[in-house]
Amino acid sequence: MEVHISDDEKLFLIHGVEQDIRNDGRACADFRPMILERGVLSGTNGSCRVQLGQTTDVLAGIKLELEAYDPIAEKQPKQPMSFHVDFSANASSQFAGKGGDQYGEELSAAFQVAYSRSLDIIPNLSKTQLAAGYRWKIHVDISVLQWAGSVPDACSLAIIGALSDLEIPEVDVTPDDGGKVSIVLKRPRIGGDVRDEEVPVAMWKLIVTSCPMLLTVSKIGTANLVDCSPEEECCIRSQLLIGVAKNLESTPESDDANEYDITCVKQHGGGLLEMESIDDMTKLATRTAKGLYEAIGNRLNTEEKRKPGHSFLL
Amino acid sequence: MNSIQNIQQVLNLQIRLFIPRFQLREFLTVYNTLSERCFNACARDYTTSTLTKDEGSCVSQCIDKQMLVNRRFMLVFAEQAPKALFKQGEQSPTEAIKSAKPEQTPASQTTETPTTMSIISEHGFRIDGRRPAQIRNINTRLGLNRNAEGSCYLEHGNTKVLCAVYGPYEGKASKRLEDRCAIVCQYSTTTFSGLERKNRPRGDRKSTEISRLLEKAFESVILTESFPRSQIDIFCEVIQGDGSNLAACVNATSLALADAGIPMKGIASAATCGIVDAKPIVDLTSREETDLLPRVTVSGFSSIILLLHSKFQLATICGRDEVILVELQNRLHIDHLSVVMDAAKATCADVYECLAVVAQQHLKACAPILGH
Repeated sequence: MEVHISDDEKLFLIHGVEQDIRNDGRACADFRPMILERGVLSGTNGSCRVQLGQTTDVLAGIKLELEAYDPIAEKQPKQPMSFHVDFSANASSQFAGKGGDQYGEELSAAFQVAYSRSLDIIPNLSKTQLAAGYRWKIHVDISVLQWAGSVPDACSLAIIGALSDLEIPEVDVTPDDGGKVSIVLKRPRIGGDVRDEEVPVAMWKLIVTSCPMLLTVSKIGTANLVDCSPEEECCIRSQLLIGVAKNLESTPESDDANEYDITCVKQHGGGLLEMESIDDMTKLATRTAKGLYEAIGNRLNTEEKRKPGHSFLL
Repeated sequence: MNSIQNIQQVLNLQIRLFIPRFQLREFLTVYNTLSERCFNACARDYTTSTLTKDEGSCVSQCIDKQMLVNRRFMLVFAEQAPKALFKQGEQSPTEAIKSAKPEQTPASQTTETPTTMSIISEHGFRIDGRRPAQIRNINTRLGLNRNAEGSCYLEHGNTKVLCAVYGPYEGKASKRLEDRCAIVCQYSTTTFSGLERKNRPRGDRKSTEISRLLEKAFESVILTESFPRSQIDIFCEVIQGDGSNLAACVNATSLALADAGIPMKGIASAATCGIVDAKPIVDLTSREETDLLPRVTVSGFSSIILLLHSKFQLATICGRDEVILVELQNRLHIDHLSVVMDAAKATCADVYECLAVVAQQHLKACAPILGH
């Protein structure tokens, strides 16, 4: 959404954030109220809708695909996730046609980088490797339905939500003719060799406690901000996309600096930055990531299941 | 093991009854190949003489699979062999039988195909439990998108559409018209909307076609002369597609236009209608749309997307309904056209009732803001 504000309004805003007060009353490191809902689409394997301040609205959907690959050509297992961000024209008429493609590709590439070590980040992701030559491919598609600032942050939360909602079927792999394998869906076990006949397919879920978040940290005046509103985005000098992931080896006692890994840093838009500023901005990113991890962990544990599609009707 | 014994019994019976020597050899080859294949595929535990539970189920599945393949081959063979045996131009026995019965109507032919069975059950219900002339539940919400002038979320059962209307505003100079406003529509589907994942959300031929259809339809609904030299953007995003996508988009768009307060001749409503056994079925799901497709070659299936635009206030009294969009996919017998059109018209009237209620409720909710 394009916002046009006058120079005086910009000045007011910049002076405000330099004193840690933003136009909507937040401090620089505060996020707008956010709503995260999982299981909003029945046609996907996992889905999540995230709203930031009720104006930024993104929808993530995951489709699984059984993929055959050449095990001789690929010795090292490739990470099985692919990301695609689409800016729907619904968000703004400037995205009509091919208008949103460039921004979408940029964001997809950033997520691809942030999740490039996904096999280490998600401990049980290697289970998607079914047999030599067969694996589950996880297509994560994000649709931006409304746009009012900090889309990357909302997208990364939606990805985490959708990944935690994702249910992958358990399969039986048995050798077949000609060195191939046959893959059959499994019913869940209820103790020993007895299988539950009521449930059609057993499912398993990914462990998402240390999935990376992509945060936008912006420089306005001398202050660093997270979660900018559209008005604030007009005044940005320079913006960094910072991927932060929880370190799996870290213990609660270890200090903050070691607790988080930076998985991706990208400058978005133009502008010049000093070395010290980059350091400050990554520190702010890790600080806010800590709070976000706590909040999202709580939400994922306490969320109640609702009927798919219900979230749009409220 | 049961299935192996069954096959053995059947084989024995056939051997004793009538099979000449070369056919016996054929059968034995099938039997031997079958048992060898399934043994190789399934038997893994050589420590016991009996089959374990897993192995047993594997064997029976394996045999079922092989027998199905065998049967499929036999069917294809039975169909193709006469063509190869009889010279071209000469009638094969099956064709001769078919041509001997010219009185057969398309409808009676369709009853023979097994696909028709699955669409309407013998008790007259469809797969999802609806009657042939029953529409799916419609749920809506207006004013979802705060950036747009008007917006609407609409569900037809599992088909879910978001629509946003921007404008009227001073649009691109290239699109500007001197006497009326330009309407720009874009139809796109999210990559995860269908059964299979799509690579592109828009830009393919089908979505471009639907965009143009929507544009043309709404050019005749909106009072375009009221906004000369301006542009109205209509964006439809299908977030979950389960059949009748175009109809859902039309319905969502007319509500979004109403939400934006753009003057229209009335509220447009749309419905999809197909035909099975000369009986119309309305508001098709994607399952029904795909199930019907193979029947195109058999008799002539059609899906008419017909858009009816009823007068906003006088719909029931006036009764003179105007059609603003008709689209036909696949082939249709000309006798069926009027049947399908009537069914679609009736459904449009039903859908219109629903949309009118939504619009009125929304207006009532807005009344305090408007100061009435």
